[in-house]
Amino acid sequence: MPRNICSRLRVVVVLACLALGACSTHPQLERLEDEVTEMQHSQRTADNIAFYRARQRAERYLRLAGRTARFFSEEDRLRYAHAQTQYHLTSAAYYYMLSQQNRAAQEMLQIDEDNPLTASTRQWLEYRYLCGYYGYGPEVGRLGIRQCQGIANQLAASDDYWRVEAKLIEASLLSSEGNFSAALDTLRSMEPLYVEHKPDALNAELFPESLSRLYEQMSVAYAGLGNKYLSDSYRNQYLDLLNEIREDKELPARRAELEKRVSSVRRLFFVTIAFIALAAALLWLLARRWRKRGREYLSQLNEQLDEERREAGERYALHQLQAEKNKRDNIMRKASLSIVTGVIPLIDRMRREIHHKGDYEYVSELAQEIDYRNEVLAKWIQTRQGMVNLHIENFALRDIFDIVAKNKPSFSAKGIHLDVLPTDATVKADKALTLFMLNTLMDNAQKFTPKDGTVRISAETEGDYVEIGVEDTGVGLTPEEKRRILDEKVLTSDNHGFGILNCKGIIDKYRKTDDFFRVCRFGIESEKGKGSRFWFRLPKALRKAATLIALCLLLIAPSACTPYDSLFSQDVSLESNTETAPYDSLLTQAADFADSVYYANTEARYEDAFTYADSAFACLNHHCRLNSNTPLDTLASTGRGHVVERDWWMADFATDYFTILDLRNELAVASLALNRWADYRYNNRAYTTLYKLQSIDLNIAKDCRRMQRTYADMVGLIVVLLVVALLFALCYYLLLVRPRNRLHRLQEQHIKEQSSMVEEDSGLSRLQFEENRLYVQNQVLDNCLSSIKHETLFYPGRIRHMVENKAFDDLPELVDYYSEVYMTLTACAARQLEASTFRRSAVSLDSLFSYANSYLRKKSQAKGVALMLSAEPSGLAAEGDNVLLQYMMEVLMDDALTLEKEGVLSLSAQREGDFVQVVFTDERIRLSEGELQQFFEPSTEHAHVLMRQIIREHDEYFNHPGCRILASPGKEGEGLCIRFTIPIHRGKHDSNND
Amino acid sequence: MSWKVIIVEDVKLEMKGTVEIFRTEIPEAEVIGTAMSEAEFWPLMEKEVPDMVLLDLGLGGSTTIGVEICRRLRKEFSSVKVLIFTGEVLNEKLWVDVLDAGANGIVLKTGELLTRDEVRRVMEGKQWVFNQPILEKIVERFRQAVNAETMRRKAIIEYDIDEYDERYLRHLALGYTKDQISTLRTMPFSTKSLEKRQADLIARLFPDNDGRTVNSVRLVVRAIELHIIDPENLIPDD
Repeated sequence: MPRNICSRLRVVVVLACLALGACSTHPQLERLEDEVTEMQHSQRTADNIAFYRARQRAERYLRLAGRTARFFSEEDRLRYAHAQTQYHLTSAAYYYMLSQQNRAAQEMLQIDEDNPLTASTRQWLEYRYLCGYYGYGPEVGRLGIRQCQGIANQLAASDDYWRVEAKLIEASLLSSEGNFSAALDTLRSMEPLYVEHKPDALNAELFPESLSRLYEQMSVAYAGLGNKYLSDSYRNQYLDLLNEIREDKELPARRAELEKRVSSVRRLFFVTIAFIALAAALLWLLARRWRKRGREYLSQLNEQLDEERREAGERYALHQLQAEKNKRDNIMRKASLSIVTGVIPLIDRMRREIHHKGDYEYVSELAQEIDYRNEVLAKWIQTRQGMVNLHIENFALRDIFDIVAKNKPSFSAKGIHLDVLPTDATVKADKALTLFMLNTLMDNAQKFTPKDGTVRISAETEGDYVEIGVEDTGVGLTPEEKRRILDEKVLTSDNHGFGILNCKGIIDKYRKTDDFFRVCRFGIESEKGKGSRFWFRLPKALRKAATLIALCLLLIAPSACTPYDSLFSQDVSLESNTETAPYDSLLTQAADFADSVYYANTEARYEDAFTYADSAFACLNHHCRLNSNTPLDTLASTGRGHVVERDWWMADFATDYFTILDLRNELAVASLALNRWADYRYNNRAYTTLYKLQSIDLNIAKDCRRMQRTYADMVGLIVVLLVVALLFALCYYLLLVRPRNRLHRLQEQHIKEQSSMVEEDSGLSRLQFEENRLYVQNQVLDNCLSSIKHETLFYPGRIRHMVENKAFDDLPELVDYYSEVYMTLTACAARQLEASTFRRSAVSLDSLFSYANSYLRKKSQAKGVALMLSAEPSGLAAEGDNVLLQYMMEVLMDDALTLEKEGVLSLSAQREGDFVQVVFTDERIRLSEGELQQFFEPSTEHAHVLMRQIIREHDEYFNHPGCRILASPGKEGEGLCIRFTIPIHRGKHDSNND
Repeated sequence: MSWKVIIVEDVKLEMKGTVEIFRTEIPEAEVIGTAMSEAEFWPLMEKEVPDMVLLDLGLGGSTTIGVEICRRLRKEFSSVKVLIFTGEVLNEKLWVDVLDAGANGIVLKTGELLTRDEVRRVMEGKQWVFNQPILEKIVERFRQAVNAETMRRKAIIEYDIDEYDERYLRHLALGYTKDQISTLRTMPFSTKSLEKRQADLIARLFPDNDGRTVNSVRLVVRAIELHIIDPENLIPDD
């Protein structure tokens, strides 16, 4: 049990640590510390390449950590500062080791600037040690070599490196005091550290640099003790080791790094090129496809447009036929109405006679005449019932609701809210009449709804019918009013008006048409003061699933070629460019002297060696004076502190540094042999410094620079390429794709606009509107006429009956009621005709006659009667309604054809003042005076009343200028001559009915 | 004092009734002739000139021929009184026409029909003798209305105005925008074609437009000037 808890606790702790670690310790900081440690290790083991790599990485982490430093906790900040200082310290130590004082000094300066050594005592000690040992910073306060030794001793407690350092310093101090055997002992005491030393084990845990100094000290100590052989042997070992460690591997490291980067960037470059090429090719292909598709789409649209135009044309023709038919029906109804109105004077006369108790025989005659006219009317209505049917179709109520919803503004103008509930119902009925009914009920509702009221239109499907309701919050109806509306046929002074009666009539009409419409009903639900709901039912239709094929065509993106950016060829060859020191006789001389120095040394003529060396230096100095642009110090075989060669090197002065190196080495050997320690130290230092400096391979530096440049160039090139590609894509879009898209859109819009205008251009919607209006007017008129016929049919007979039975007492009341009913119904019917259906145009009489001719030919052929028409061309044009005039011709021809006798009819036209007189002659018929007088009176025999009506329409439309129609005997009293006059076309407008 | 009358009436039965009225109600009048058409009428006039002609406006197929007969009577027989006896109960324009043509009065074939009183007044030389149905409309207002209508009609013919033009102008006058007009039930046009219509209207109503731009307002004012729309009766369509 406790064990369990422990393990659980452990898990918790680990998790918490992880979480804490994740948020408290920054990963960059940890890495930085690792890298700095690695640097230190590499520096001590003189693994130069490893050092630089570690240094580069450390530098990066230093930068990264530096960015987030302000979020560090106090502890982390301390750690960061410590690592930073350590980084600089290690770098400085490394550069000192490589005799690159300047860079070392820079690093030291960084420490001064960045962190004033607050991190740890240890670092402070190391810093002071470096300052003292390598002479950094001001002379005053700098530690002497003994203090350095003290520091090394202190640090040695924990570190082998520092132990070696301390011993080396001690040995060198002993040597410089001439106590060579003590120095040798000290050095020997370190021997256990290096006893196993083999050249190949060098780069392990040992400190090669320290070891090289150990060898050097040994060589000095042996020289001091006079053991020339061992001294030389150690010196040679020292030189060997120096050769190993001297190299500054920064550049090779960088070069390797750069090579890697260059090759990767080159790969990236080619990938970029390939990508751009691929993208361009793809774009080109796509664009070509899009363009093609766009063209196809446009042409498809165009085709569609043509198709629509053609269809619209066909529809137009169809509607025109229907409209013409409707117009003919309309004129027939108007003629019927004129028959009705013609009865009114007769009724009035009847009334008068009855009220004046006048001539009852006359009353009887009048009643008989009225009866006859009713008969005519009945016959006309009957004929029409055979001719005209309801336009039954399946349609979605939504269409009609959408139309009535357009009335919202007119409702809201009166402060009434119109609520049209959406519906999915589909009915089988007459669309135009349904719209008419809905409009009528809505108008009615609007009339009786006060401000802030609501009118709601809705449809509900129930069983096999759809109930359409118009509900209002208006004044409502009493049961009595309701009953009157529903039951009474005649509404004399009812404010609900004739409209509702019409609706009822239409529903009755449906029911009479077919058993299918048995579900049709009209009803009212209402309560006084609370509003009403008028409803009607129409049979439900099986809804056809409309298949909408949505053409989702992508908007067109046209194509263009991507010009391949010329590939900038980049010279990336890494050709080395060696720089050789100019040949100079002075340098040759110096080299010769150097050789002499060597020989003098091998022959143990050490003093001579110094002399030769002086001569060699003189040559070199002279050469320097001659060739250097900047004044430089002179070289000398002896000296203190300052190493002049380094200045030369740093100033990039070209001379024979190999000679100088030889000279310094030989001088060091000579001074060892002569025990001139100061000279030895100076020359040895000069040698080591130059030797190390020389290891900096200038070619590599150049390569690095070139590679750096190449790398930068490549990166730049890639960037440029991408930018160019991006710019190109942008330009491509802005200059080609977008304008073309816009063009396409414009074209598309244009086509669509045209397409939307097609119907209107062809006048189709107007035609439809008129057709519908005529149709509704006809239907409503039919209702009116039917009710006039039905409701009043009974009275004339009744009156006659009463007159014959001498029941005069009740007559006045009856005739008054009859008159009232008749007048009301007639007025209602007349109101339906208020909208003008007349369509004026210039009508060429010649084309009118040729229409009559072809009509006659067709009809006479059908009847098998050889009846011809001779029409005189007149070139005249009249103002009138073409459809009505054509109908006029039809009526004339039909009338002539009722007499099945062959012969020739004639038509002619002439000008008569402001009129055109058309003369129709039929010489086959002979009519009596009386027949001619009654020619245009209503009759069950003929439809002459239509002709009268058509002329009356013209007269009325043109404001009663005096259009006439007259029937008279023909020339010499033979035959029939019908003349009519209509306004002449004054040539203001072009004839458009030819 | 007896006087002579000729009756012109194209419906036989009505003729009978009218003659009967004269016989029973106005016995001082002597019916010297009856005509059922213009062709019959003029020979009667040639034969004997009456003191009064009772004239029906519509004869045969021609509804307004009475107006012409009246005009000719005024010209050729200025002393003859003309009383119009017509069933044209709704056609006010015809009443004005026939009055202008010189008729002494109009009696509509409704209500009481022809009474002695009206005939007597005509014989006394009174102008504008009307029976009750006509008198119910006050002559002055009636005339104004008719004149306005006449002007409007004229404009409609002159400038070829159709009902859509009128409706368009009326709604413009009411401050409707073209977009709003295009949503009207009675205006089955798109905004675009309404623009066309307006340009067309401007061209018609301003035939010699001297380059001044005519906007909708000017157009509407012009339409009011021409009585194409009636500013006192501006009602929007539903």
